[in-house]
Amino acid sequence: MAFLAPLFFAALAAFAIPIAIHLTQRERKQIVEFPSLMFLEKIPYQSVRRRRIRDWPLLAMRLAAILLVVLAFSRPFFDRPLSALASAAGPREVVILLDRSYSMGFGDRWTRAQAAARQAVQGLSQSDHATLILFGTSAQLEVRATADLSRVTAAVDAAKLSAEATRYAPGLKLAQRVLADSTLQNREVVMISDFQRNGWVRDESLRLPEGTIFRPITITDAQPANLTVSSVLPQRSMFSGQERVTVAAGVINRGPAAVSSVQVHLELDGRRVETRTISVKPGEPASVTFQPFTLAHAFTRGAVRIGDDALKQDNVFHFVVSPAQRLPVLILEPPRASREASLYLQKALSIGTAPAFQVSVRQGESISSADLGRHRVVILNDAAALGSGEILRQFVSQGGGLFVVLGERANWGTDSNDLLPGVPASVVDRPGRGGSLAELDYSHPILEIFKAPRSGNLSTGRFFRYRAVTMKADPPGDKEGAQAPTRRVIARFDDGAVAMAERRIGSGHVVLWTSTLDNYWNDLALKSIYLPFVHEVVRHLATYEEPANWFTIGQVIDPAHLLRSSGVGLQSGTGAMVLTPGGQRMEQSGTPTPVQLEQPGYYEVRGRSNQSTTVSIAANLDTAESDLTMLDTQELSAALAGRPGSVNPAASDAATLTPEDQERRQNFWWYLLIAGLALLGLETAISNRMKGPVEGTRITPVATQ
Amino acid sequence: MPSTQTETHSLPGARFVDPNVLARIGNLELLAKTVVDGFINGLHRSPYFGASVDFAEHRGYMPGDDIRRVDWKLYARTDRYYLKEYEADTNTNLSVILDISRSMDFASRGISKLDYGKYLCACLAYFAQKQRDRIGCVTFDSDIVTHIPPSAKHLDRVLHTLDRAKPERQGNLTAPMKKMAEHFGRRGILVIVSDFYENPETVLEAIKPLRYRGNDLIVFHVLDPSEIDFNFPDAASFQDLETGEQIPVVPTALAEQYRTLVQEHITALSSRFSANRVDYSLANTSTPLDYALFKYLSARQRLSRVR
Repeated sequence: MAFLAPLFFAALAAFAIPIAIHLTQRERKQIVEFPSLMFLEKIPYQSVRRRRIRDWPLLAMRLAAILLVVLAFSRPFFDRPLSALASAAGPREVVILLDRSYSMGFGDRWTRAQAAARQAVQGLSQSDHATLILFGTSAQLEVRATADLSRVTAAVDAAKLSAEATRYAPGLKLAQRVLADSTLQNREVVMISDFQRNGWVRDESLRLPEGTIFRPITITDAQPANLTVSSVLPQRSMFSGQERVTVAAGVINRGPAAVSSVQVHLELDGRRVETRTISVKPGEPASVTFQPFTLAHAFTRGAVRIGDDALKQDNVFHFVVSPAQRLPVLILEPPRASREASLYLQKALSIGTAPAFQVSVRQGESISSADLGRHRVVILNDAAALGSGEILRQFVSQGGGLFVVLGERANWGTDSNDLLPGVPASVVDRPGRGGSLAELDYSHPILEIFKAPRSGNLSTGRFFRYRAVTMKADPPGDKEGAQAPTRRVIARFDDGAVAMAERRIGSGHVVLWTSTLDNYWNDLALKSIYLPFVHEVVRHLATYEEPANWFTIGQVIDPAHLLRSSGVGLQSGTGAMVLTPGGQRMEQSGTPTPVQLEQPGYYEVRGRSNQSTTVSIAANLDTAESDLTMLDTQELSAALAGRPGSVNPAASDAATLTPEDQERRQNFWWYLLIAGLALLGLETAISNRMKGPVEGTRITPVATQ
Repeated sequence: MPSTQTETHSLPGARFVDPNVLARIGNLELLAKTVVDGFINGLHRSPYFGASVDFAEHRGYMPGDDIRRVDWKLYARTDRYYLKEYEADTNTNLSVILDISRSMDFASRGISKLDYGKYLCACLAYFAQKQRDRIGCVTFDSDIVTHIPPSAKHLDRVLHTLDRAKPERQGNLTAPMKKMAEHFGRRGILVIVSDFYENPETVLEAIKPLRYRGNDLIVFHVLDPSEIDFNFPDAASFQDLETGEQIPVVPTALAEQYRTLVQEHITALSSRFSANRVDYSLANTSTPLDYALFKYLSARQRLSRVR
């Protein structure tokens, strides 16, 4: 039973009135004149008798009447009559959503949550169907719509905490589907969670079926204290020709009280190298910077760790740092090319740190597979590698990048069919002021960074000559082109001619530039945008990504891409092996498939053909989960019911009640009021009958005032 | 109280009049006459021996005695000188001393203690007048209010004074009694009518001076039946008539202890008065006046025989 107006219980203080009356022995105002009080004053005062309550039955009746009236005004209602009604009306479809995000590991929350889930299962009847869904970032249907409640209980017992953050939508959508598929009329969702605000993003499409009872069970603690390592920032610097890393870590105090003298440890390769002490104010972040260390080898494993608190999972932050690597780029020039042919290109690529480029230039008509194996990107600068077409195709299909620059001497002929996005044709002259780039596809990764205003204008370059290119369509039956076109025009000149086009082959790309990259056919090389343009082209072709120092749980990694971007060759079909922080080996034969990170710590990725090289990555918990600020369950209930404000978390099932049901649950106060008034009437009658000589004793004059 | 009335009215040989009936008679003289007429006469004797027709005794001659009182016939027979002594039926002074303090204005029934005291004093005065005694009257509360010296002609004044007496102030025995002792220069009978709401020792100390000149003291302790039985039904605030002080009282719880205290008080007064040769009578206002007179006169007669 609960009460709509519990403040009325303050009126129970009225109990003091009848008690005082019964203690003071029915004092009356009648005055009797008496000759002398000489003898009365001699009689000793008996305080014990004065305090004794008399007429217990009458007092009990009066107290009961007051209690009943106060109870009536407090508007009692029953929590469970609807459940009882539902049970009486028929079996229920009950979906139990159990939050297993790592924030439930705070103190004994997980134990309490499991107990609440077991209790919810025990409250079901044999005819009810129960579903158990465990949710974190994702949702998992553990037991679906079964009348075998022991199975559900066993699943609750076997459930483990995950390292995921809280997201309510996946679990609720799964519950929505289970309820929609149910044939039972009475539906109920029991959500057991700590109801973190971070986990809820209002989703208008997320509605529970009509008539569903939503019952949130909150597992929380009063003023939870939690200290979190929220981030780690490795900053690189060069010292005496060696790369050094300075680690700065952020610590957030999520609790209500200040924390002082917190020890923050830096660990490298499992060895504690430095400890700092900091103090953090409540609700504020603090940073700590460790002494720089020299990067001795690739994939150095680091961790920043703080002392234990109620939520241990977020007290450590893992990271992996490696020495910066140069991106190998090969520039192939035609034989007897002038020295200035690749001058601008080389100069542009010699500048850059993220990534730095390692440029090598060669002249010739052919290229060996050994050359290709050492480089990520090959630039055919006005060269037509007619003799190496197949090798280049294989190189590209395995993820390599090919940048084909058309000039006067690049005569591809029909051999371009297998490699280029189009067929190069004759030279086009643009006399006078020349042409310019007019139609740019900013959705392409190469041009994306120029999309924003004042981010570089490629139209400033004047193009006086270029090669006409006839774009080719994907041949019918082409598997790669079945899903998306493999050929794409990235930029056109102002006369509509193709300026830049791309062709995807396998996991690599070929970009065709129809003019030169020197200042002979155009003056782009003299413009400031030339350098970022060239860098973006090479980065795109090399599928370069900033090496991540860590990943977040729930992210998906591509082992093949990791190995490739780390410079580890991955031969086609050899597969890869992933070793999780928990020691689980995930063997992947053939082309490796993406792997979702599920555990905090260090993952190892190895190419099966090259066991000596291992790529390490760090996985961390979603630090947003450390914020234990609670969501108002009323908001959640209202959003799920589709009627804002109609759901009361304390009695959330009221949201789906008809007015008659609500009235039926709350009309108990009428009976209490009538009973109270009847008792008062009876008390009046009895007390009137009891008038007459009463047993008593003298009371003090003070008491009469 | 009904039981008390039944008891008193059943006394054989006496025609008692209910004080409540007497209260309807507005004239004190008529009231006293009603009570006294038909009552026994001549029981009252003088405390002095003197010339009288009633022989009392013989005693041996002492030098200085009047030789006229020598019984010569007895000398003839015995050759010794004896004097004849007679019971002196001489007039005496009767002073009624009435307490008119506010505590006397209490009445749980039709007649208050003060009225009862007035009737009693009037009856005694009238009765004494019949005896040819000199009658005086004193009313007092915390001081002497009126003082009428004893005289054979003061009956009217005495009755008038009694009639006009009103309770106005608190009572106190010691101061007025001390003053009275100075006024009563000649031996006589002093009748004190009061409710004696004082400590018995204090009462006795206050009255003692009146006995120094050989006065006979007769004390009437007037109490209302409610003061003795304390049979109030309901709890109430009891207010002292003299001081105005109030005390909330639940009588049923206190009655027994109260009755015990009152009885102890009465017993203490009685024993102390007796020890000091003072006639003490408890006068319950529910008992008839002539009954009180009868009781007094009986005691007086007994005392006269003893003497």
